[in-house]
Amino acid sequence: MMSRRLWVYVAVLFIAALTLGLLILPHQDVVEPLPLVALVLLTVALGNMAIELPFAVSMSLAFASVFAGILYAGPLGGAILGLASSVSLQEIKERKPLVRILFNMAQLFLAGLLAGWVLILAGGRLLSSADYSSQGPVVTLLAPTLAVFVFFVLNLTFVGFSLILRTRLTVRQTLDAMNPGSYWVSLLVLALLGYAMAHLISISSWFGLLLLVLPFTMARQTFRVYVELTEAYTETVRSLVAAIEAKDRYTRGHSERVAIHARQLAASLGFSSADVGLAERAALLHDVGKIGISQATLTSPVQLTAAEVRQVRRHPVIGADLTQDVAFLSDVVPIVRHHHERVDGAGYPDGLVGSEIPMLARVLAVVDSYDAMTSDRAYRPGMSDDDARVELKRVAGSQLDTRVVTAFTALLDEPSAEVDDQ
Amino acid sequence: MIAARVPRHRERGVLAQSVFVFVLAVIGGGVALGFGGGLGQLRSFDYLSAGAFAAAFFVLRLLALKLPQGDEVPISVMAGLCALGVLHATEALAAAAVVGLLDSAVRFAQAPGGRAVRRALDTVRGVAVLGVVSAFQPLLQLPLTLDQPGDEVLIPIVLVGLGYALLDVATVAIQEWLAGGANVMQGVQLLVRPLGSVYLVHIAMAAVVLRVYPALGLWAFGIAVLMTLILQNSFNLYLRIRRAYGDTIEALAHAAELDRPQDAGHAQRVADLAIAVGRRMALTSHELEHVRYAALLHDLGRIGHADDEDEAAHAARGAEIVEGIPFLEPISPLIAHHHSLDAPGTPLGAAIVGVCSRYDRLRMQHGVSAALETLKAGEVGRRAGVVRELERIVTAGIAEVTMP
Repeated sequence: MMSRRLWVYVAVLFIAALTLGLLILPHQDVVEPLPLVALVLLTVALGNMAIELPFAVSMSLAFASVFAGILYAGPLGGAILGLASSVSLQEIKERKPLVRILFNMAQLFLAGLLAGWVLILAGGRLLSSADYSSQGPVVTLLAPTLAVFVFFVLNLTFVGFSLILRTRLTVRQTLDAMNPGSYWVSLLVLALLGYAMAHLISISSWFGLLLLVLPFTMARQTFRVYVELTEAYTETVRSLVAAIEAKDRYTRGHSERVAIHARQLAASLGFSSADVGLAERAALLHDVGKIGISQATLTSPVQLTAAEVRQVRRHPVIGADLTQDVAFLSDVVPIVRHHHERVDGAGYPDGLVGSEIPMLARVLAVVDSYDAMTSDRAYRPGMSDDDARVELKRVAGSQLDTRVVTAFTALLDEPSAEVDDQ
Repeated sequence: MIAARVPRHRERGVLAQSVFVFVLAVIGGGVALGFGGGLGQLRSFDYLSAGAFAAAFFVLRLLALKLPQGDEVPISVMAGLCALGVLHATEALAAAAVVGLLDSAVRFAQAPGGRAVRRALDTVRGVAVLGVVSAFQPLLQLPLTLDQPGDEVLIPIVLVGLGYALLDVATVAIQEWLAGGANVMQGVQLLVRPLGSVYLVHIAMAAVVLRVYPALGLWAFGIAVLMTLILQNSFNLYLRIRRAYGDTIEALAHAAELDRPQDAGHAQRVADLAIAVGRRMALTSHELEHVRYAALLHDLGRIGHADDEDEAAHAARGAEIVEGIPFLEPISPLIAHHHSLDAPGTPLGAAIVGVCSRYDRLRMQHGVSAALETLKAGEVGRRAGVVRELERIVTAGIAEVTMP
């Protein structure tokens, strides 16, 4: 059912592509084929290589060559390069559904064709034509900008419509999911790249074309390592914290468990994915200041003396100090520092009240208390899960944030959340 | 318990560095005047183009690359090549010099001191190198001077670009050496590895700009500067997370020491020393990074076994922990062997970490000279070499280690 609607959509696109192609293309002047062939080869060679540079969402490098095609040879160039960029060896190898490959062919052909047509309508001259330099400075800028815009909007519309057909989302939901606003930096960069490419092929500078594209392929490699390193980062912190905690059998695995819960709880409270990651990192490091407290105190089976209590209570401050030096961790500092504050202001180290306490610190306080209650200590065995929940509800509003406690108990009730992972 | 570590930076060898950049400036100035003046193409000062190049120099300098070992290297090869390609040498040098002054002024206003002095010296060095490269200006101006330039003009441009980059790296390395760093060849290696691809981006972009300059003019330059900045920014982000990674390990190493007050700061001191020794013993920047991590984490296995005096056991425990951590795997052998240095196949890094660690413990108990004497009497083979470098560093005070 779904796929039939999609097939109809693709068929409509194909008919539109054929009709418009027959209407527009015959009016175009003859273009020297070699530059276009070179662009096609380059596009296919790059595949749909996405430039996933850290400044923006990824977009395909092929977009730049489609744009170069439009600037060089108008509708014809846009259509040919659109078609070339839709063919990806990767997708064929992965045996993506045929309907999807056909859809991409038709929609990119159409978008390229129409963008090239708009370029000419707006008075822009093609780089392949002899009188390119005779156009005024305003047109030189305006026409290509308009063409980029048309290509981008058409591309988004076609893809968005296919999303609506497949998922039955509303138009607004689809727009939210695609988030077109996030593309503009990449769009600008790729448009400028395409502009430079078009000029290079118009003076048949093939070596120059390679020189221009090479750095981007290099940057892609660098960025891949960057992503790996970012992933290794959290893993490293996790392992080292675990190694350091292992000195005390009562706290072993505590930070790891708290981190898992903090992550789930932050997500269920509707935090952004960046904040969910932050909650996890802060949870992993929240007790890093405890490592400074002598083992004898931490594992003492008897009541602590006043001096020892003072010492234990310094751990959020020590933890904050330790993390402060690391530029990458500066965002966890307030959370680590305030995870023992109480909403009634009786907590430590600063005695903050209610909303003065950072929200993620309140989240951390709840999961930390729960894990502390349910695990064994030198001076007492761990509570049962039910007792711990009762205790959490009892201290909600005085020690802990009521809303966070409610969300956490609801999370514990969910069968999917693995609670008992000791 | 936790002392704030204030980074103290005192620039060394300022006089030697000044003499070096002065000589370089004289050579560069002479070349620029001799060859550039000989061209006789300076019709009138082109303020618009010179201004555009000055702006490009400035943003490229602002986005200096920060290496994992802490050095900061501004690269402006792309702007330099383009400026020499389309401007008169005097205009190009003036643009670079004005920007250099501006950049140095900003640095001094932000934080007067060693780093600002270094930056100012680096500016003079950069302008002087540009002056030297201006000898090859006719090659760079081929696209402008030929009637129908083909792609063959790109070859001399790329070659001059490579020469420019090499000269840039070499002079930075000489400056580094005069400031008490590694010798020049090692310095070049240390810079080329992480920065090579950035230099290539600069050269490629400059070649493209010069190739399309006759058709596109300053537009081409604007576009290429933007691309270069974006690419350079992605390299910088990568280098930044590499630094953050190291800083995090440093912080966790501090944390691991907190319950052994007698050891406070030990790992950090060993890391500082080991890096200084490693630099002198021709380790690559990759190896230096590993030595640093290994030094910071070499006592990881002591956690929870404070009373255990068995050295081999804690080394093995530490190595085992590290082995399971992605990205830190390669340092596992360095930790495993830092106490059993006699075995064949012990990596040099392990010897460095082991000797530096021993030195630090001896020094805390018996003072610097006694510690050195003990080490000189006890260590043989490759470790004796490490001790020799260590002694040089300690007596020259190159690696000032923070006292707990």
